[in-house]
Amino acid sequence: MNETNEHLLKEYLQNVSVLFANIENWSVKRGLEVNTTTLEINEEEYGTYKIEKLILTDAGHSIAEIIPIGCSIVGSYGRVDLVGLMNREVISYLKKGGPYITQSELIDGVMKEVHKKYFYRDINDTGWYWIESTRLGRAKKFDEALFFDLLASVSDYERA
Amino acid sequence: MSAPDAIGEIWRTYQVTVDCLEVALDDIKLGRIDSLQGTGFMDTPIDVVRRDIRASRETLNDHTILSMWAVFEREMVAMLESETRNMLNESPHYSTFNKALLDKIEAGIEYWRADEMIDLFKPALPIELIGYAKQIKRYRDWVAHRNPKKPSPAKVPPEFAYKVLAEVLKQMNLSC
Repeated sequence: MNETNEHLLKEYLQNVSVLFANIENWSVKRGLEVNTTTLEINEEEYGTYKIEKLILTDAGHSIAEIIPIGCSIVGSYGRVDLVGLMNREVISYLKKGGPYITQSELIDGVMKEVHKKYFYRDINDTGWYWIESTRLGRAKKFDEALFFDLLASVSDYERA
Repeated sequence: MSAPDAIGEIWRTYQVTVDCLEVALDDIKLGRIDSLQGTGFMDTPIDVVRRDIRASRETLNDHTILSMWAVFEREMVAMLESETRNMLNESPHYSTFNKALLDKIEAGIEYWRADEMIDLFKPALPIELIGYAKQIKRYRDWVAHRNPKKPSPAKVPPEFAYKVLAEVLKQMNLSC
């Protein structure tokens, strides 16, 4: 693995670790149990590596898993999925602004950058985001309130 | 149907299908037996139904990317063929050799590799867009020929594939 990829993978593992610490903290506050198991991911760019996934249970009843999907994702810097009995939601790590294309024009015989066109809105900081994928392409920062909203939508967990 | 519309049609079908799966899940969750009558969900253990719906959603994601790519490639080939014909029609003094050459190119376009076709648009399209399109192609190939022993290339969320491919076609049309 080259140095750039090594750095990207290290960042991804660190970002997942911070995210998982937050989720664990939020879950424990609500009386949920959090367990972990290790899984292996195999990606062309990064080879095989080990990473933990979270398993959420409520009084012994399984609610959902938070599963790292990979560092190599088109349009983002890594992804974890919130997977419940009923559905799956995608959480992506995005740099401020999110993915974009640089629009250029030929001005006086020279190609000049005119503007950047962003694919998603509302990515005001670097961090974990949930894209309202089937609607307006609007991104929402992944926080405690959103976590429990998504948990309720992928599982039969009822918000208190 | 114009190129962005053809991809848009697949995208809208994807969204409708996802919504239908969500409605089915809600009906099952709330025990709305009347709406489930006559479907394969009746008399099936609820956990099996949930697992099947979730698996269908994942398959749907991959199939949507396969379909969008097929339309994208077809539109790209059509665009290059049309552009080759235009070059011939717009040139008032072409020789028989010029015509033979362009006919040969036109006949061969559909056999070119997709990556090579995309590369032709490098001078006209944002470089990020070219890169994203090629990554989608790699993922599409991996999905189509899935070999469990092969590690996955960069994964592509369907909504991102839609945004990229629709934008590439739009910009290719403008640049021709």
